[in-house]
Amino acid sequence: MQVLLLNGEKNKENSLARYTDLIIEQLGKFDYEVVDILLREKEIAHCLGNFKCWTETPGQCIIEDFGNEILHYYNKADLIVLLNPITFGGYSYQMKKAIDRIIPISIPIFQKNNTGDYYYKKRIKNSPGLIGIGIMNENNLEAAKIFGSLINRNGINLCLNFYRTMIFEEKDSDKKISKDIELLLNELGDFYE
Amino acid sequence: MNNEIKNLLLLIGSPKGNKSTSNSLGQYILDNINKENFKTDKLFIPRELTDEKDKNDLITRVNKADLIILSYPLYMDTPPAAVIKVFEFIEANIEMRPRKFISIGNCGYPTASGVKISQQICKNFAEQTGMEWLGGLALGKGAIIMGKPLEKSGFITNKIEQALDLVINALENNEKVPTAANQKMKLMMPDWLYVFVVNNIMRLRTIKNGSYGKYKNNPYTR
Repeated sequence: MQVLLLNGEKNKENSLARYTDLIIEQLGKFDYEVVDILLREKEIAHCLGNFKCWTETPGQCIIEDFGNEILHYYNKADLIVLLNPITFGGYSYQMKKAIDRIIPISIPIFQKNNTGDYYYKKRIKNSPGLIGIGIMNENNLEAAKIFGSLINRNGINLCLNFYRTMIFEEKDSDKKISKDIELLLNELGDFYE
Repeated sequence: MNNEIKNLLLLIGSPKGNKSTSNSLGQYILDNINKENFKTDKLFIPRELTDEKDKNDLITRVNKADLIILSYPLYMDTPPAAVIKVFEFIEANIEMRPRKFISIGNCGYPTASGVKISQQICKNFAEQTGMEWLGGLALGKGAIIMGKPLEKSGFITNKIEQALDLVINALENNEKVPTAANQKMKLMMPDWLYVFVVNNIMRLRTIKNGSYGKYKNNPYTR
């Protein structure tokens, strides 16, 4: 299994390296191959919203930067892990600039799912799973709830078969974090079997 | 409404600037709000907030505002990256004082339901930066307006104008966004027709660009 791990930490002072290490350690136990990307070190321009990735160069963004590399890894991955400092309930800016650039995976044809929601068809045949790991500020519990809803919504819109949210607080021990990740990866293993 | 003139700042969060639906919706409020009560200002959120001059300009105008209206498109279920960057910047630099905040989110899906999470994010941002959340408006089928002034968009935007009039009235009376405004906030076009029109506009664009044969291609196939 190939895993794309995107780290959306805001800056060096608020590093999420501790979590990255624990996630990679747990993924290693399952023999997963991990591509680990620290987004703030990458040049990723903002999505221009011009839909040229749908109508001029289908499936590919016209901006030639690391955003297209993200697409490349997304298409290869069986599992995407988003490690994100919860920011007003959503993604940090560093994460968001990458997420906005995966819109080329969609085809501009509306479809309706069984709950009546519309979504865009996807180019990718076997969509990956998604684990959103939110690092929570303990003073903003509401934000953690919103983050869970966001991961679910992304999961539906991206037509993913598997999407889960994990929330950690900075005070959580390494042991707790490792254990929770291991439990989820076990569940994921069962799902893919 | 008391007689004190309030500073209203409209932030446009779309990278398409004045050709965006976000601009059409926000501009309608600026054009129609009573100028005796509100001094209005409009800022297109910079694509890259890296220039010190842009940063100073943004925070000066935000600090001056008594009421901020953010009008934005939905990108992957949340406001675009440039808006999130501005949120983070404002949180770190804002002068805390009583201030109010409203969001107007629009999306290209036939229904507005997908805007809900982005509104919760806007509400959380407002609360974390000491602003009073007055509510949010959500619009589906946003792709049809594309920067046209609402007054020139024909009957299909009549209800949207009525919804925005309700918001203007609420602001002039120091009230929150009324529920009725969200109920009216709809383009007068059935879902099936919107889906038909947008699907075919996209197909026609690919034909025009000579890329129709690759329409469903995946250049990154495993």
